[in-house]
Amino acid sequence: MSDTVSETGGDYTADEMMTVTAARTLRDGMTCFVGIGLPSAAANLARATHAPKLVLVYESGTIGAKPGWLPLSIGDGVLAQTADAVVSVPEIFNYWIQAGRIDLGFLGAAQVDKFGNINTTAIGDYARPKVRLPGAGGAPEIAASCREVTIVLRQSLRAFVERVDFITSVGFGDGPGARQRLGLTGAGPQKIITDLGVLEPDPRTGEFLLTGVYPEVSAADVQGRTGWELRVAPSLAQLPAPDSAELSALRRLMSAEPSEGASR
Amino acid sequence: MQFWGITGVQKEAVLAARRSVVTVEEIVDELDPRPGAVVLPAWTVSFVAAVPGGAHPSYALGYSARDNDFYVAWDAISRDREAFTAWLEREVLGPGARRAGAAQ
Repeated sequence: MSDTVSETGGDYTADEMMTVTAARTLRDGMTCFVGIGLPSAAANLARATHAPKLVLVYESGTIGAKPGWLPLSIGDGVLAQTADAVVSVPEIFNYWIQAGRIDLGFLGAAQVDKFGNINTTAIGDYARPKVRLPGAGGAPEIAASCREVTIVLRQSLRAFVERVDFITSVGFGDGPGARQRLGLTGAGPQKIITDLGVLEPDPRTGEFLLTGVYPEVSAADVQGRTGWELRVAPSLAQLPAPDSAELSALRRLMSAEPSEGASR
Repeated sequence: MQFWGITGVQKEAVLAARRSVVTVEEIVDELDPRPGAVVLPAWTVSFVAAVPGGAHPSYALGYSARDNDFYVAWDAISRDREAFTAWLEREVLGPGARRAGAAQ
C-alpha cells in the first residue's frame, strides 16, 4: 500500500475497506435490516461512529438491537437483551418489512447480475445444479419490501454475471418496469458494494454502473472482474481509504468478546 | 406454556402441527405472567416434558447461556466424516449423551 494509505488510517485489508464503505452509506436514525457477517459489522461500525441512533433490525425479530460485540448468529441473546422490542419472525416480515418500516436491507449473494438480481439458490440448471447454494432465507422479502437494498459481495467473474442462473431475490428483474409489474413496493437495490468499489443502478435502465473505486483501483480492474460489459459512470468517484477513527472502531468491534456473565 | 426472548417461529410451529412436544425449563403450578411473553394455552400443546438445559447449545433466556463455542466447533466437525460420526456418538447416540447436552 502507498503513501495515500499511510496518510489516512494506515494499512488496511480489502474487507475492512468494504465494511467501512458500507458503514458510511448508513444515515443516523435510519432503520436497517442486517444479516450476520459484513452487514452486521458495517451497521455496528456506523453505530459506533457517525450514526449512534441507527436502528438495527435482525431477522430473529430483534428491533433496535445494540450489541456491544458482533453476535455470532441472529439468535444471539445479546440482540434480545439490548433490543427496543423483540417480535416473532412472522411479525418482522409481515408487519415491519412489508409495511415499509425498514429503510434499508443489506443482502449478500453468491451471484448478482447487471440488473441487481440475486442468486443464492443454485449454480447451473435448477433441476440438476452444479452447486446447490444455501437458499433464500428472508432475502426475497427484504429485496421486495425494504425501502432500498444494498448488496455486499466480493467482485469476481464467477459472482458478477450477465444473467443469474436463478433469481432468488428480485433486483430490477429484466429491466425498467419489472418491479412495478411484480407489485414490489421497495425501490430495489441502490448499491452494490464490493472489495474494489461501488456500483449503482442507472435510474433509466436499472443496469448497474461503476460509480466509485477505492484507492489504487482502476475502472479497468473492476471491469476485468465483472462478467458483463460494465459501464463506468461519467463522474467516477475516488472513494477515500478508511481513516484512523473508522479503522480503530472496526478493529475494536471485530475483537470484542462477549462480556463476562452476559447471556450469549 | 409461557416463553420469551427471541421467540422465532416456535409458536407458529406448534400451531401448525397436529401434535406438539414442548420441552420446558420448569413446570410450575401457576404461570407468573411476564410482559411481552408468548403464551400457548394448554389445549394447543399435546405433550410437555421438563428438560432443564434442553435448549443446549441454544439457550433459554434467564435460565441458560448460549454455548457459542459449540456452534463454532460445528463448522469443522461438519466438514469431516470421522469427526461428525464421533460427534454424533458423543452428543446424540451414545450413553449419557442427552445428559451431557442438557447439563451445559
